[in-house]
Amino acid sequence: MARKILELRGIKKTYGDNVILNNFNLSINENEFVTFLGPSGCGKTTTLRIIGGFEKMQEGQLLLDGVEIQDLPSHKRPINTVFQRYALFPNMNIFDNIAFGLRNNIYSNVYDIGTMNLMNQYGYDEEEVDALAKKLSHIEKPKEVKAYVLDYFKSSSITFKLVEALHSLAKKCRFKNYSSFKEELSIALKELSIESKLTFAKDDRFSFVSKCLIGEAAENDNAYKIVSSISKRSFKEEVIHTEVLKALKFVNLEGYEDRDITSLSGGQMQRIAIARAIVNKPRILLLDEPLSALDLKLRKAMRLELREMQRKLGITFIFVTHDQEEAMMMSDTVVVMNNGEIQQMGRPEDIYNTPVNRFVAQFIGEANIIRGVYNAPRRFTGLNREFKVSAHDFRLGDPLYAIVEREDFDICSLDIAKIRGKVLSCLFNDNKFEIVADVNGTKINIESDDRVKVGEEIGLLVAPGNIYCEAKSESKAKLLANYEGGNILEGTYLGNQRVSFLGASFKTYVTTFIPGEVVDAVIRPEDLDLVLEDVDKAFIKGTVIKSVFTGTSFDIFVDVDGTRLLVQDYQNVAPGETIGLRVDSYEVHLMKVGDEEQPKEIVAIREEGRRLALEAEEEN
Amino acid sequence: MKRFKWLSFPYFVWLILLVITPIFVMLAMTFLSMNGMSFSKAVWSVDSYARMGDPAIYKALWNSLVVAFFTVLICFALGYPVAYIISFSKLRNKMLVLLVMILPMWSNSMLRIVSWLRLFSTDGLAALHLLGSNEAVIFVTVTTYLPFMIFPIYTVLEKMDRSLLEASRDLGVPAWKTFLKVTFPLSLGGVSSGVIMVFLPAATGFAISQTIGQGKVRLIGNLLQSVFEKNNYNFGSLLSIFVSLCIILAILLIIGLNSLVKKAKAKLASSSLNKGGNL
Repeated sequence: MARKILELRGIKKTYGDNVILNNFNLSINENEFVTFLGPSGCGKTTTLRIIGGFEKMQEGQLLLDGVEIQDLPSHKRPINTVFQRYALFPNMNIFDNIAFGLRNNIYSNVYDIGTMNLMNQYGYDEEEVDALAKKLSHIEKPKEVKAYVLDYFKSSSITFKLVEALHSLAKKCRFKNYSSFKEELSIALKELSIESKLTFAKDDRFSFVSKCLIGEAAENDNAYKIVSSISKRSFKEEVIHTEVLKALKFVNLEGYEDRDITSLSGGQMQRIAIARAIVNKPRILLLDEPLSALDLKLRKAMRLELREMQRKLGITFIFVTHDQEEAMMMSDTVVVMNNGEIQQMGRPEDIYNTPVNRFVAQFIGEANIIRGVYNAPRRFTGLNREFKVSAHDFRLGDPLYAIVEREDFDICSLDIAKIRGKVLSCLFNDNKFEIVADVNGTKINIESDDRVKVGEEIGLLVAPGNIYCEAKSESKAKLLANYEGGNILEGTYLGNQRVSFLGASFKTYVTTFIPGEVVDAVIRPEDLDLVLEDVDKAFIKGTVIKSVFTGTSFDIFVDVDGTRLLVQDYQNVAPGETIGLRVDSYEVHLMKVGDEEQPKEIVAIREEGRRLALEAEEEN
Repeated sequence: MKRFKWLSFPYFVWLILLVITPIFVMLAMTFLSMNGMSFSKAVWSVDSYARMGDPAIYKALWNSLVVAFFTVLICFALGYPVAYIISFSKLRNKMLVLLVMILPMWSNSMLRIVSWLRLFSTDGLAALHLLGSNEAVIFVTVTTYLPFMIFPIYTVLEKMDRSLLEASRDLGVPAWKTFLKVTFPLSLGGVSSGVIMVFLPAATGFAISQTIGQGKVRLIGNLLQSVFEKNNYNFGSLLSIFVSLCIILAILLIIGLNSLVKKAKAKLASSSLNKGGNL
């Protein structure tokens, strides 16, 4: 999944004094369903509108395939949008709505699409189709595309060569009948290596003979057929017609083309809006809360359908929503946003299972957030009780938030309970009981299979692994590093935003470590990019151990001086091959490592820090 | 809503008393001959119909249509851009701008017409001999009725979903084409009500043509007025009904043409596709 399609770098957006986005960085991979999730006003729609070209940003770069596009107007970007309220044109029927872009775009790719369709129809091989498509993508105006395509096929068409040869023959001398030009003609045909099966009578005229020959040559000449199709005046409208019907079929609304927009239901309008966007063959489809206007039942059905569409189209979808359920169900990657900042980015299950901060936890799972103190190693005190926790990288006395998901509380008998609570309410919802209990004045949300009585006292247990601790002032490094499935490499922080691991030194965005401190560097498998050319110049070199196809990409295991790295990529590499790997500085996340693994000096500095912190705490 | 149905009752009484009944009375009067409104001395007669052959009627009618047509055209040409610019501007107080536009309407329209008369007959402007020309009548009619064009157009533009324009931009369509394909077609409702609101008074009014036209510009309104002034209510009724029918016919014609054009377009599109199907 290392193939990046879109990158946002250091984006700043303000409305007057109101800062919406500040130094916003994000990269989005090809063929992924990415969701921006956050409450209203978190900047998710603004980000989408910046990508779509509807908003100008004050600072930063927007890169598509590594090329800056922030100054391109929206109609020049291969990006289309599905608007929140669909924005279908009420003065046109469904067909005209979908055809609108292909018909009226000054950079319309009608001729590109039409040519590719014809080439596939006449059985051209894929390589030639791809090569031509690539060339055409650099030509902007449809007229120029048409001219280029016509030239391309004319030059490869035997019929056009024959016509030229016959013209020059006719110019050379005046022919009366077949017998007078038979020899010249046969020479000309041989030069073009045309073997004609036609026979002519002695007194056939030149015009008749050439007509027959051209007809014969054209019969099996695909290039000639393509030229004649494309040069037809109705070609553009024919292509539009086929493409619109294809798009309608794709959204399961075949036969609706003549209907009026006003006759459609919300779900149908939604699909027409999608059809209108994808008919232009964008690289990225932006969807701005497209399901919010639908009723619950339809919304649930459309989720699956959208997901299916994304898979079938094989393009990137960027979806904006405030509905966490929607985001969890549809996405490959969820970007949780708040106050114009990315709170967490990752697979839905990772975000759900290991939220990196209080905001994410609250937004995703309606989890319980308990305030407390880290009062002993692996001990957390909150709700007047001491809990065992798995977290170990906090300073003693650190004020913490502990996050416990609703379903992670177990109801038990009072004698073995860790905490006791009085049931305030018990509601049946979605095959579960949603219980709210009062524990020493704090409301705790619990999800359970069993009913409890309101007013009853219940006992609760929670496993240490299910308590997620977060410092009140968390460092960004820790937020990002908490990612399962990453490559964890032991390294040393060199200072000055450099870190060394795997025998090389790398840039990192992290600044909060002491020079010389031992750290864990975490790199997500999809952030490692393969370097296949100039392998010797790559910082990391390794040998491929094995490569496994996982359905959408390859899991490649690489041995780097005895350390095993996992790389995810769309490209396959044969085992035994030596390859290079590269990683961007903002994708190297550093994690704190416990005292037992640190050099003595670092332990001393840390202990001094802790002592000062404790003193400061006591003074407060 | 059903509960409040009875609230429309007064209006229906009003409609029957003051619109429908008079029409039938007028219709009856066209077959009578009498002096003024003295029904007691009325006799059956078709004199009014005999007078319809007068070519002066048709000349006045034609002149009215010409004046109204140019008035509408100029009002549209001036009013549409104004409505468009105000609606799409980022002004905070658009209503205030519109209020300023209709400020002249707060004074009596007769006063305004008379002030144009005075202006046209003062030193410099008098030399241009504007009074008594069709052009001057059209000019004053435009100044009088321009707000009636701006308001309905502004209202539809203001109500238009701006995301449609973004969608068009997103689909790669340049601004001028978006205007032609999306904005303008969607504002046609406002344009047509503006056209009717300007056309009707411009075609039937008589005050402007009488004052500014100095009796040289004879519109159908002037003719009607003079007939009623001479106490000939029978011919007056016939002429009024005739003018109303003409105007209704003109409006129906416009609507009919509109739908014909639409049908022709649809036919053209489908036939071009059928040709494509033969491939």
